[in-house]
Amino acid sequence: MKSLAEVFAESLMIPASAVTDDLAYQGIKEWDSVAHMVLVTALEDNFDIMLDTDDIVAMSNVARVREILARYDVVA
Amino acid sequence: MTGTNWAALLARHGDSPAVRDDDGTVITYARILDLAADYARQLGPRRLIFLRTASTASSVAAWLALLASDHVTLAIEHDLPPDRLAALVDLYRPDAIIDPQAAISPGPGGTALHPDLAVLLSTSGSTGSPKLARFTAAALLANASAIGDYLGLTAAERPFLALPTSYSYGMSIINSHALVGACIEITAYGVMQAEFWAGLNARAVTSLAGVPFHYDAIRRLGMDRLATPSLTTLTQAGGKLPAPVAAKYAQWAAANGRRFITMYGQTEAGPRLTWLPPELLASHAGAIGVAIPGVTIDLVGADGQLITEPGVSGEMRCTSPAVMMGYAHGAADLARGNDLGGVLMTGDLASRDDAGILSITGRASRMIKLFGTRVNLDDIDAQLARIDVPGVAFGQDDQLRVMIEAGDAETVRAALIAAFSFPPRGLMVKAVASLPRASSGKLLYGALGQAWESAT
Repeated sequence: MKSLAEVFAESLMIPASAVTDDLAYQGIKEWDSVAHMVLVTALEDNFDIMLDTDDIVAMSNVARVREILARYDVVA
Repeated sequence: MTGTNWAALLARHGDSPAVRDDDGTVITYARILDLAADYARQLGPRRLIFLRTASTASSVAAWLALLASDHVTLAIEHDLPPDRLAALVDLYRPDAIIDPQAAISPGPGGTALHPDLAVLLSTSGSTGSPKLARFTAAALLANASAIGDYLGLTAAERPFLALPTSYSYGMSIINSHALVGACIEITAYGVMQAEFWAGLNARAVTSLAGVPFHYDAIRRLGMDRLATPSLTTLTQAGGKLPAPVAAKYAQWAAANGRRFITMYGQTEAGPRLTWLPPELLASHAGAIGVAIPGVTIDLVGADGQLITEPGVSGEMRCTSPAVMMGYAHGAADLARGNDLGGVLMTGDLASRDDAGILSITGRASRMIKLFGTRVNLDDIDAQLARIDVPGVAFGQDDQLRVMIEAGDAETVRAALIAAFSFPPRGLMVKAVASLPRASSGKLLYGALGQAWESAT
């Protein structure tokens, strides 16, 4: 299983070092709606979960994604 | 006056709201006409204006006010990188630039304008392409009017507009709805944001316009999000919607008594060319349909002969009152008249079935779509040359590939993302020892795909 930073880095095609807690949706060009779709699928595959769509549209930054994943009993 | 007809038509809508944005700002048609008069006073009689557009009420109002004035407008997305904007200013020498906050700054000026010219659209907004399409006000009026006809638009419509307004599809939604006096519900949020869905519900919108990516994303999020009772019509353009996805929406539309309408157009055609009447969706999912009112589409074979038999592909040739006057590559071209006479070779290949319904079968030009955003591969090649990297852009829809002979792939990728505004996820860069070339040194475009597969 990959780390949360690795999933972000691969989905957004950015260096893992750029994945910080305050990295936000639309905060960088690479995190746009297209990459968000890729990210959602990668999170679901990697952590073996099915994200609720309300959670998908609430994933506005890395810290928030971690909080949401915790609700699925994923420690990331 | 090029804008006279638009001004007269907008004046009929009086104090009705023309546009509302995420902040709740509302601007009426009457106020837009006041603004048009302000622009005439502040900017002079007839000027070349660059309008830096954003998804706000004031930006939409500025666009419509300029359309109803005698000025010539080039719409440019506000987030275009400064060096690309500066290159356009150098090349076309606008008299003034209006920013998204409606502040006016002077430009170099001095460009001669043909008396019929009213609007300029970039052929690839995301790359800030210097190649522009030139339009008369009458052409855009004809297209907006045809769209209103086939969609049956009325003043009661409230389209939810999340597309960039400098993009021909976004612009056509504004123009067609302004013509009937509807209120455009513009939003800066996207389908992947909770605020988008909150807005869609709270603002009681009646229609939604999207590119294939949006409809794929909505399907992923669950189509029950579209249950808002006011929302009766979904339109799709900006690329080919895969037939299985179209079929899903056909089922949803039938089960819920809504309309899902796939369409096809091209910036150069002002832009709308075809639509698939909703009653044909179930039997023709994935097709682009039939010509819209006033448009004729012929299929032309490689030998130049008209194709009449079903199932045979040819390049679509469109005859329409909305076809551009021609391209512009620099300021001198803005003095040119109508070069095309209402006939456009689209560069897209299509065939007809037995019932005469059109389907796209391929593309002849060096243009690809990245998640609905049009990208001219020549612009990518030009940027590689500017940053002094030997390489070439190629690829297919949703997959822009850049192969370079020298330099670091990650660095070049970052530089291209910074220079343009297409979705970065669609771009891949690979470094190879050498590009496939003929002995003459000429690049072998046909061999690029194989070289890409074997590169690491």
